[in-house]
Amino acid sequence: MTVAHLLKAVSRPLVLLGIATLLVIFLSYQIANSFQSNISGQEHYWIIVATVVGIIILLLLVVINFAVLFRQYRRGEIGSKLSLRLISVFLLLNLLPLFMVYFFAVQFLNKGIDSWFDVRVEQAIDDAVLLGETSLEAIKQDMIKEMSQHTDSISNVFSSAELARRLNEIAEKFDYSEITLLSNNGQILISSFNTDNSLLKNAPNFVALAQIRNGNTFAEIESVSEFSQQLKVITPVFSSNIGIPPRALQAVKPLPLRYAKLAQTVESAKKQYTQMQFAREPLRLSLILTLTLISLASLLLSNLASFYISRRIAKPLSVLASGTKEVAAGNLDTQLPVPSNDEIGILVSSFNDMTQQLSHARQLAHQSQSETEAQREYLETVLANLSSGVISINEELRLESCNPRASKILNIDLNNDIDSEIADLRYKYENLTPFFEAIYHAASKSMPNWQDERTVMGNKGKQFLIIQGTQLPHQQKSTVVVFDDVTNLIQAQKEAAWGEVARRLAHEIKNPLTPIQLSAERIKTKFFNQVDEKDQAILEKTTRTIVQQVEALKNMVSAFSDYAQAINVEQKPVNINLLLEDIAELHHGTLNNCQMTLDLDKKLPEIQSDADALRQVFNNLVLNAMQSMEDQKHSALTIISERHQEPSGDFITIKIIDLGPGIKPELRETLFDPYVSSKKKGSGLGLAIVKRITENLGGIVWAEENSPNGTQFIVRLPVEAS
Amino acid sequence: MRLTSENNISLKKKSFAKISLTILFVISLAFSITCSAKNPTRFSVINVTASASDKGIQTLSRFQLSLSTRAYDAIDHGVPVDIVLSYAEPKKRFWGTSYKTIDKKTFRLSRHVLSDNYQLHDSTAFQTHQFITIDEALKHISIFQIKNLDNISSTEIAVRVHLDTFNLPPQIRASAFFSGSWRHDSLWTVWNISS
Repeated sequence: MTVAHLLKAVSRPLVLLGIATLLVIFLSYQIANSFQSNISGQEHYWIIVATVVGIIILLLLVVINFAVLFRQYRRGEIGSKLSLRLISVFLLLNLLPLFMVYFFAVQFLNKGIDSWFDVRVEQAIDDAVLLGETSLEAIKQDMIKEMSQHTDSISNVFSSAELARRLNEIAEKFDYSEITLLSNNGQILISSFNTDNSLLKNAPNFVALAQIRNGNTFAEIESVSEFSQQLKVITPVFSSNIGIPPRALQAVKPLPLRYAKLAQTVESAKKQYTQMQFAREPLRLSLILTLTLISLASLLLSNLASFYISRRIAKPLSVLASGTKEVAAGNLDTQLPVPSNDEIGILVSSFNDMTQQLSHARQLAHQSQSETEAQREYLETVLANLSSGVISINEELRLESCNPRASKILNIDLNNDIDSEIADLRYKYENLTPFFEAIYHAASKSMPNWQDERTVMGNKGKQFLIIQGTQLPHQQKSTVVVFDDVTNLIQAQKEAAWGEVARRLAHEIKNPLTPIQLSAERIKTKFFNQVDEKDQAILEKTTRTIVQQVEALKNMVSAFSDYAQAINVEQKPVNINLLLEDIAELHHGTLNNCQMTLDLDKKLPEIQSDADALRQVFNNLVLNAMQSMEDQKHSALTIISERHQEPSGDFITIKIIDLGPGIKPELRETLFDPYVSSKKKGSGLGLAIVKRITENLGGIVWAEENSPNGTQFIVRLPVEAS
Repeated sequence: MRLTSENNISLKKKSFAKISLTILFVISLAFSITCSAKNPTRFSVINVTASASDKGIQTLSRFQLSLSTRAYDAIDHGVPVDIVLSYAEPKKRFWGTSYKTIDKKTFRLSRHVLSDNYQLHDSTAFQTHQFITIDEALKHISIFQIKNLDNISSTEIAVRVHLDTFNLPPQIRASAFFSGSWRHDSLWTVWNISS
């Protein structure tokens, strides 16, 4: 294991808490033991300092943790409420027993310390001390008496040898460990000692010397060792000889061992007792302080542990909550780390499985949605480009959807009527009533498949609609209606029928006309001279009538032939304005008092078309207009050319407007059909030919009422040939 | 998507901030305690005469010693107190002056119950003196303490006298450590050595 791994392992909260706990236990043990003398003062001091510092650190950590938790709680972070609740519970659980233990420990401590001090014990010790003091005082007084005898015996002795002899005798006789004659200033003159004693050690101090100088006796009991004491007496030695300075005699006598031991015991007991008396309050305070420190350290440590435990419990839940938020926000790929193998771990694993499955389901849904979307787009494209109109009706018989073609066929914007009831549409669009009636009728009866044909009035006349309806397979009451505008088809069929009639007429009638005409002329030639004048006149009249009628029939057949004849279109650039000017010039003055006006767009482009065919179209229309105004005193003809650029294409529109009586309502639908005419003369094929040629050139023609009176025929041609 | 990495970074930052704050607080606390203990209390060094001789440096010191009421009371109750004279060689460092202790002299002052005297035991000289009063014993320490010192390379000598609370009885040690009435310290005073 590397140092980095070791540091990482040690810096984990659990390990740190463990180390801190061990330290607190160790310090508590040491601080509790520090009242015994086997721990030095220095160690004691550093144990207290370390404990206080440790408690400060723990306190700071607790405060910081509380501050962080409080901030998280105010921010409403997930898990903070749970952490706070857990910590409060832990704190309460710790605080109550700790407080009780602390309270009773303090009580016990106080009582324990107070029980050390008993009045009887104190009195006994004091009595013992007094006894000891009295006894020692008696010994001391005895020795002082002895010393006065010794001083008398040596007061007038000045010879060193004699002094030495006497002192030796005294020492030996009275069991002195030392007897010394001192000068006035404390210098040793002669000394005699029985034990291995140091002269320096027993030298009198300045207090003793001061007393001697004052002529007093100095006596004291000294401790030599733990169980040995000695009695030291110094008395002044005055000589009867005048001029001799006083000297001092010092004697040291060890106390009997039994006395010394007893004295020492009494001394020690008294010392200990007085020390304890003095130390009573400091000791009480120290013990309470120690107890408080240990309790505080335990409380703080358990509090830190509660922080750690609550975080450990709340963290997976907060991560789980964050995960659910992510999922709620749509992030189904969220995967959470599994914190442990316990129930929370199982919960997190289940969450991960759930998000995985949700993600998979969403992918499938996306895929399915994409496919549906593609199908819908495909269907919309098909419907949009379908030549048939398609509408759908829901179970409430309301319009649900429609394709663009439906609106175009019906010349209304059906999108504005989405969700409208079909029954209402019947009355909203009166011209389309048959159409909506058919749908309503079939849909209200839930007919599975039906077909109908209806004619409605469109903007350009009658429209023939073929309608088919089908109920949707999974939505029994919803119906899809498909309808087609077959007006043009019917018209084409009609025109084809008329063409066939014309062709047959031309073929069947035209052939016998020439022999009839020739035969009539031959009859006239052969029999004219053979009959009288009266019959000649009849013959002349009848043959002329036959020839004229045959000629008329020929013209009619020719017209039919023209109508039936296939038009060969030869497309070349055609200037419409020039063509219209030619037509106007051709018919100028044909009709008296007819004012002809040309309003031509000068910027009109040339178009790819057949000039001869167009000339016939415009010629027929101008002739038609003039013929409509033949009976009028004032007539006017206006020819307009315009360009129309629309999204659907670039067109040229030519309007030929007359001020005639207008189109009769009964003819409006069949105006361009063969043999439809309001005029007395004419084949009735002019407008039919106009329509046929125009449509062959890729254009359209229609008629509108002119305001205030008259009719305008409108020809619209594409600029580019189809 | 993993939610752990961002949470871990945030937690590490928070832990780092916590530890930094704690260390800062403890350092500032220690600094303030150290600064507060920098004033001499009750004991002072009045004069030190240090002179070089063949046997080394001979010092003659005089002190001003006065005990607090608490200390008087303690001695009267039989608590022995140690008064320590310390001699050191001052050395200039970049943070200030360090003192390398070269010698010590300890006096233990205690009360003798049976004789009702005060004993002053000189642990260096193995001598015990008896005094009627505590002040007499203190006077004995304060006047002309002679000390011969060897192995001094510096031209200065630092002297200090203090009451050693570490050697008080365990029962009163804890309160004495942090009580001002037990603080008796002259702190180090520096004196020149005359040749």
